[in-house]
Amino acid sequence: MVSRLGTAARGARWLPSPGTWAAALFLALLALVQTSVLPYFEILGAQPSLVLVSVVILATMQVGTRALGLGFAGGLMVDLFSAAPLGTNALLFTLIAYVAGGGFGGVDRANAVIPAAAVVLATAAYYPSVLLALQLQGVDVVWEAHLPARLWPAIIVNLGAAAVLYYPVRLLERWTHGRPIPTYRGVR
Amino acid sequence: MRGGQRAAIVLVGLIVAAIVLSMLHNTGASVPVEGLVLRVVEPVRSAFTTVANGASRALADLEQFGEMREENAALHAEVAELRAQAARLSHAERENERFREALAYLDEHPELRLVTARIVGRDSLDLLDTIVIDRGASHGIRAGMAVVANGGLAGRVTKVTETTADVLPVHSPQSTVSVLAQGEDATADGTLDGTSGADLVMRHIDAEAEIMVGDPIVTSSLGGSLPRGIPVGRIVAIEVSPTSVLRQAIVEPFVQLEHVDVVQVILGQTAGS
Repeated sequence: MVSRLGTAARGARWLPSPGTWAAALFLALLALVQTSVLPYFEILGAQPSLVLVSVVILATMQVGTRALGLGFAGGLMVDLFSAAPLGTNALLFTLIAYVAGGGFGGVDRANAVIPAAAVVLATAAYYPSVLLALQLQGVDVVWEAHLPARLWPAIIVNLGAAAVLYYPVRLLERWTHGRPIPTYRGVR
Repeated sequence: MRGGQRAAIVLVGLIVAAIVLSMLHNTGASVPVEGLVLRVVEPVRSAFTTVANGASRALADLEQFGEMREENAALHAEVAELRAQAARLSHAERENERFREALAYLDEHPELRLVTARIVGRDSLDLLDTIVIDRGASHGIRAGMAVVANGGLAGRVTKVTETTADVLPVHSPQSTVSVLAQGEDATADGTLDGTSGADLVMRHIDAEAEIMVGDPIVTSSLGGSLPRGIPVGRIVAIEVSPTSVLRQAIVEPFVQLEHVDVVQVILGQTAGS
């Protein structure tokens, strides 16, 4: 398969490819929607973390370091647009992309359960982690108020977001990276 | 180099980058760059917010339409209840008069210099409660300034870039404001803390202070960060601790930021006033 925005148009090897820039732009758009639009539409008292979900799906599809860079970029944009302390989500999304990529890299990635399981685990890990990160940065975190009430709704809502985002992210990955992605019916 | 080793090296590099960014943010060194990025995305973000706010209101209106029948029955019951409450009308009138006086704060203080701003971003995880407004240092906004909406205190500015500012709402658990409870004959000092719920808690009220349910709460000048007299809310319950000489009151805020999209920042007073 030939990449549409893959390595063909790539200049210096250490620079991100045009496809990676396109994926980063997609994450930037999701970050804007997540911080400017979704706060008006709570579901079960939670809002979907579109960037986190997309980064996790990308990480389960990719091999190598590209997902790490996209996790960092996506988290950085969430930090910038949501008034969170800069670097907080960038760090957490990078770690989550690393674990999601490493943890699910060796399994059958055509299995649709894999991204769903990764999103559930990532959300479950992300909420306490972001609370801890904020507390370490001096924010007065009310654990008993924030965690139990929001974790389960967030997991359910992010699972729903994963169902919506899975195929667009898959198309984006195929379009920008050009690597064959395994499906139930074979590689395409 | 093997793929696993390369990934580990990139991971360490990105972790270091995130920590450096966090340090730059905490020292304020990253603010100009953050401001530049936010200025670039500002038109898109503003358009998104306008559309989302409109859609949110339309949805709320639809929900209200569906509830109209039930509301009608409830209103009939309410009318009967209101008739029963007629005896207490005199007290309610006096109380309403005090609320009107409190909420007329901005009208009564034309000397205040205000900047009107739109809310263009909110904390998507609802953990920090911080909101982002589309006015910043270039419009005269500085950290610590009071933010009002619909005549009541909405919050305080916590961080400023050239074109945007972060606002900590008064209902945030991170927020503490020095306030006065305005009783009919006297006032009582205290501090007003946000909670994780919808109401606020006014603490450190003297046990002898003459306050009662319904009294309006306004900002005091103690601490010097906010102008005195900005209305904040009204007392809905008073709690007495048997082990303390101080009391605390549950306060319902005048401003509910969820459906507010325009706020005003108090820059200070006009020259000569």
